[in-house]
Amino acid sequence: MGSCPIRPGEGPGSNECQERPGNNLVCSRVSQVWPLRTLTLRKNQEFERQMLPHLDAAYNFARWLMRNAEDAEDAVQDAFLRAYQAFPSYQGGSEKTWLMTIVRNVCLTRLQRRVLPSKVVMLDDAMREVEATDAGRVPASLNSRPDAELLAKLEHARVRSALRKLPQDLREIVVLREFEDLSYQEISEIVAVPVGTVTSRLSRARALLKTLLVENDNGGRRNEM
Amino acid sequence: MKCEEAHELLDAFHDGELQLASSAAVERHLCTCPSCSAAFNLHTTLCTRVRRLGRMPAPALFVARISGSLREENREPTGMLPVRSWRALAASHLLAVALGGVTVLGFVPARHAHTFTIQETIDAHVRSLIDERTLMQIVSSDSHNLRPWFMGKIDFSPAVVELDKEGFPLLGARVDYLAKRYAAALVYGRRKHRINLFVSPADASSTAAMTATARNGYNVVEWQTDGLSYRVVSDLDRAELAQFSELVQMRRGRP
Repeated sequence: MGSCPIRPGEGPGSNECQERPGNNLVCSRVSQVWPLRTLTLRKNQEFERQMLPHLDAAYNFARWLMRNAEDAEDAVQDAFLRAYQAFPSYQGGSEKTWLMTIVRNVCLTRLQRRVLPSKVVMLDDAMREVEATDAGRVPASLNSRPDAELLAKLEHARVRSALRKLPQDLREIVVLREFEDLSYQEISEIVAVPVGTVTSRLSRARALLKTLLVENDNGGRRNEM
Repeated sequence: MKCEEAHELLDAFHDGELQLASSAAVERHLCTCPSCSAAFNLHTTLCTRVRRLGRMPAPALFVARISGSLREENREPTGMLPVRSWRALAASHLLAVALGGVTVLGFVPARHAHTFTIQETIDAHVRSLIDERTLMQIVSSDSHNLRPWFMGKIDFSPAVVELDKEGFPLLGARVDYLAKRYAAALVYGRRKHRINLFVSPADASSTAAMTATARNGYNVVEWQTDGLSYRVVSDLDRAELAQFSELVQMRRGRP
């Protein structure tokens, strides 16, 4: 890709900025942090027209990488800002692939810099707790009346928890494939690995998901008895 | 084709990533081999289960924040710093650094008037909390009580929304004076927190899109609809306040 994928650690001002616990950017050299570039009005409208439709995709991707809503929002906002600044050098091609590459790199940089992962662990634990209580509630309602909505919720919780357990390099490929319906070629550009690697990671990811889901399903069934 | 070979190609076959010839070969194999065909069905089931989860969509307030700041750029005439609010975002990051520990949530346009009203909104909120009597001039959780109460006190009619079921009980109201205008102030609760919702006729400094700002531990969300400007302020966390704001915006106009 000729256009701008900013790789982790290479973003504007990455040398001047470091993340502190609490997520505040600490920048020592103000003027060099965001080299401000002026887009023309036309270019600006183009940016909005091409990139804004992918905001949901960008958010969902960041949400699965960062694992909590607030960090995902911060990362996507940062990614949009970087995309906006890199836009003059964007040379066409799939805008979604271009934007997702930036989102991923921002996320990975932030994950690397995360000093205190305690916040994440806490949220993940909290989610697991919610799921556990959800799972616990099902048998009672099954006795009275099978509640389709509740069952669907439980199913979602199971699949989500299995997907959350995948390591990041497998998880991101499943997210891009199943939620964004991207081709192996597009995924390989975003993740910066050969297509063959995408194929093998996807196989591994699906095999692992199957195992995790079988465990989950059995666990659920045991609960129901 | 042998089973191992077919097995290796199952993913790419499923995703439509095989060349036509290989794809046809896998298909032929699946027709004749029950065990591979069963494996393929498992595959399809798994992918369907994952796909059914769907995307986690970006929260409405977040979308409003991003698109709002872009729209704002588009209104700028060319040659007049079209990156103003993005620039302001960068500036606000730096401000956050300068102040140490202040998180800036939104793209705060670098307008004095705007900055001024945000501070004024927070001031009014803090002032209202000094005493229960300054917080509410009328205590009522009934919108049908509160709307007529405003008649004769202010020259516009704010929509009053009841959000008890959503966990934001309406507590009461007062008339306040904010940014050189009379404002209807509706008071809501959330656990021990208090939320002030200020409604006043919109002026040039208010923006249509929902924007969120944090300052000194307070979160302010503001937007404008039908010629009225809405400002929500509380020490509640930003996600909950965003939820509250979206509910108010959605229900407005309905009893």
